[in-house]
Amino acid sequence: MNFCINQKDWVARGAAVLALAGAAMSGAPAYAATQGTIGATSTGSVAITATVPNRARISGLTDVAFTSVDPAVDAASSQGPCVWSNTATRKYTIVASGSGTTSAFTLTDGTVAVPYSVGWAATSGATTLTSLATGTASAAFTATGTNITCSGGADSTLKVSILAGDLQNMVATNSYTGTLTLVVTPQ
Amino acid sequence: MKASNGARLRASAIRRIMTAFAVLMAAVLLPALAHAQQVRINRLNDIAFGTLAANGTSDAVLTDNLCAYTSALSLGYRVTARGSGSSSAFSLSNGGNTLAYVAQWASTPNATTGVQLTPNVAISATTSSTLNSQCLLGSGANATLIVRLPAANVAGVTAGTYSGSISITIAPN
Repeated sequence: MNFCINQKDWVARGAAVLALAGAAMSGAPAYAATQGTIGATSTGSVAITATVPNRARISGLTDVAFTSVDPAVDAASSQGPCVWSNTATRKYTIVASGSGTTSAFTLTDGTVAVPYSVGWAATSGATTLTSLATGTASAAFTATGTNITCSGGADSTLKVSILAGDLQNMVATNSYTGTLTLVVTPQ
Repeated sequence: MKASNGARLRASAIRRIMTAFAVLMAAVLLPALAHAQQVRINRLNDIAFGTLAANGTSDAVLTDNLCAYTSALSLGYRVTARGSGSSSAFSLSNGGNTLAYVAQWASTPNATTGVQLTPNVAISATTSSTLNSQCLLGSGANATLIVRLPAANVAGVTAGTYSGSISITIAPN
């Protein structure tokens, strides 16, 4: 059984942009265009402004494949993705959605839907994770990655688990697949 | 022999007078001619990018049509730009973070590309119109300032509003 993970980059929210823009302007000097006068030299100036919106990026995700699973024990797979947020606080929320009915976290062989659970932590290699509910924004996490390309490596943990009881409902040799979509939103 | 010496003396005196006159004229006229070469830059407008695209995959580019006037017979002028960043860098600031941009100059209006400017380094340009110092005739502009925010520069910066200025000095060339 295996399934894919979708990652969505550059999620932004406009309302938050405006609030941050006002705060950021307080520390910046004001500029305005000036015109040159005629003479041996002449100098004019142009004010330049740009607003960078809130942005986030999730990367480093890999497909999850459960193979040769012992149905007597719970199965789990963890990986270390990276989340970057450009807000001053580096905070973000995450929404996970499955490919089952009403975005449920389920795998299916076309007949039987097998549930799985999703956990998330804002540190790499975490063993204590926050359980995510499908379609529901998490509490705010703080990204530790300061580079959009996550050159520093993984800074989060994603864990997908299937309970032994659910494994026991799966038919051997059948392939169960699904997709988990993760959307991070800067805060 | 006396007449010949007198002629030489007169010729010598005339040469000295002409030389003195030439020196005098040069002293008087050259500064006046230099002073006559005047320039003016005007019709500048602020450049406001607004809120940049959230996906940030493309450079943001804006241009400003302006008027660069020179009275030099060559129609040439030099352009020197200075940004408001540290050491005149072309960078914007939100008070704590900086956002670098690229500036270009074109000696025609409505240009989309031009000669890349370096802070405090003059480039040469030639005006396309010297009818008057305010470009009152024609399109009203004869040059373009192009400002580019590379997507790569925008990608990693902290959210917020960034501002700055670019100062442009022109001189006869």
